[in-house]
Amino acid sequence: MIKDLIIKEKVIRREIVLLGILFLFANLVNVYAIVVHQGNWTELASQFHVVGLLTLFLYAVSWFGRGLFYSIRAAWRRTKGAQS
Amino acid sequence: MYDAHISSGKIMLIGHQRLFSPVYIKALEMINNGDLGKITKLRGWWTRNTPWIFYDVPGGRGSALDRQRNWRLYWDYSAGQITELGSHHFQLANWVLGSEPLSVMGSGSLNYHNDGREVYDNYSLVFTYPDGVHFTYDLLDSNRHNGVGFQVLGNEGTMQLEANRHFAEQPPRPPAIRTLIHNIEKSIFETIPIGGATWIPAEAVKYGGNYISADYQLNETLLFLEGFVEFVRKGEAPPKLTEEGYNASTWSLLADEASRTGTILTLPEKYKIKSRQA
Repeated sequence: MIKDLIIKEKVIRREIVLLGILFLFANLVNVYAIVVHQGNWTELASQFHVVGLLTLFLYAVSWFGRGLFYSIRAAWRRTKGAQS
Repeated sequence: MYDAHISSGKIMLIGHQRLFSPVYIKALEMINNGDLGKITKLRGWWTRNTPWIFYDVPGGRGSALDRQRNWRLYWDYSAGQITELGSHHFQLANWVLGSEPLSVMGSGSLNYHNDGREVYDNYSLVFTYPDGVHFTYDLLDSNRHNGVGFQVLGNEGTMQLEANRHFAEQPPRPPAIRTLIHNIEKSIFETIPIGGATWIPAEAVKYGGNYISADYQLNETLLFLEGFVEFVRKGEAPPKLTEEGYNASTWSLLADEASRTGTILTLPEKYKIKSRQA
């Protein structure tokens, strides 16, 4: 029997907030790049697709990072449980 | 032919269809607007790998029938690739520079299709224009690697007219965020050389350039024919069109003579015409 998968509202909200923060960060990277490389301020709009892709890339990195963290933590807890 | 055209008032156009091409017209507009800066050199070439035989005839090359059917291969009736192909680019060079050459020199040889034909299959020509501008031109019938090309080189840009491309000497900078990402990528993945050349070679620019015109799909030969019919109907044509044809033809014949005699030639005074363009 297929088990229902329940995503709690709290989790959805957390992921949306994280995505928003990463989007803001990607825009700040664009601002930094414009200042450092003497770009044109219109690139804030014209390079929106690059900012979007950067956001998704950072989000994927965050999933990878969190996955790695939880895996190590779970493994560590199992080891600790076996010892006690 | 030109004198008959003038005295009769009949319409005469030489088949230089690039005069009607939206790409070339746009290119000329950009060149005259100074987009390439000061034009210092033109380069042109037309290279093919073809025997250039239109009909197989009994008796083969050199026979009386072959001289009639494949007349392009014999000096009595033809100047070979110079008039067949080169004249199109000679017209273009005159049009781009707004003047005629001062002189032409060249070398020609028949070093591949030695089958009894007479005209050359290999040419290198140099036309000198006012202000020290050179137009170098190659024709070859034994290798098609470079295809057909016509470049206008200025201190601010280059145009490849046959390819509908314009290359600025200083290409536009990429968007800042892409430069930043590229630099990060480079710092992570770039190979660090432990030895190498002590000088940097002047490599060709690897920049794709921009289209000269978006109207490259229009058929310039058809536009030329439509224009010709229209001029016949109206009973008049812009004198420039005929003059372009005349000048390209005279310089084609001079280029042919220069490459066969190994001399530097100028246009005799009696063949010069005054422009009737208003």
